[in-house]
Amino acid sequence: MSWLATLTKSVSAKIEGKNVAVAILVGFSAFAVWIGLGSYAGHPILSTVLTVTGLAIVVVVTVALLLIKPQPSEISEKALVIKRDLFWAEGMQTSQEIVEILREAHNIRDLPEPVAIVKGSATNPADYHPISSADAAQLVRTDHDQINQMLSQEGARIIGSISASRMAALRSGKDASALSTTASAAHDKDVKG
Amino acid sequence: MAEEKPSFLQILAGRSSAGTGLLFDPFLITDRVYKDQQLNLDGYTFKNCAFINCHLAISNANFSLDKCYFQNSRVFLSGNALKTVKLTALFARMEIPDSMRAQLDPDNAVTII
Repeated sequence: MSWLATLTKSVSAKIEGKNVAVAILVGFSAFAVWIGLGSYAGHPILSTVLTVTGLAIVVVVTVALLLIKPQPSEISEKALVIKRDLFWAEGMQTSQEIVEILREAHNIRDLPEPVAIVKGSATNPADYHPISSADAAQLVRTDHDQINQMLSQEGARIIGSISASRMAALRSGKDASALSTTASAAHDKDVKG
Repeated sequence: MAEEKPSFLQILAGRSSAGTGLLFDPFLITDRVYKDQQLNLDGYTFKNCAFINCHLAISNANFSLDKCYFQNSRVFLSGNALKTVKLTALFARMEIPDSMRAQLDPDNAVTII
């Protein structure tokens, strides 16, 4: 049954996004053919026209679907503004993706496991208290989770800021490119200042 | 009396505190000892931490150190951090203002904020 799974994947890939509308058209045409065949006794001419037209649409669309390359769903363009730098991230869909992008932008890497904790002054080795590997690993995990939480909050603030900028630009009658224009102007001002 | 012009490094030091702010506050790490490890300092504030025989990497330079201790450790620079040091080295013969120096306490604790 691997051929069925392959065929299903191929078909599902081909009917994403705009192609869903095409699939609906094919379904509607097939329904028209079925109606046409059923009403042949009462309206032979109309039935013939309906059936031939429906079949032609089904054949043409099906052949076109099989021949054209798969097209993914359209994704909205989203942006992150980090201080003076503008990062465009197409296809950014989830909070986790935003966190990963921010983690990369800030060049944050997970720290290794500490061998001890300091109870006193870091300059005095007598104040070092060794910890187990399990405790050290737990510290690293906690750090990772808390950093993710902070980055997620930062992402939310950035997205909120972008949304506000875009809304302001739209209200003032500018197009969607006003955001990047504003960012460039701010950058120029910073450089000159 | 003519006003004394600030040196290039003084201007640089004056701007450095105001021009590198980030949305993300470096994540605070306190009271830890790292030994024989490689660490990337970017994105963290280390407070009262010790680094023994460690390789410390810095690229964005968005880090802080508060009363930290170093023993037999090395720093590897890249990116903006490396460019900043190269520019500073260019003016190394000039007098470096205090605002560009790390704070070194009598007990060898290092603070860079």
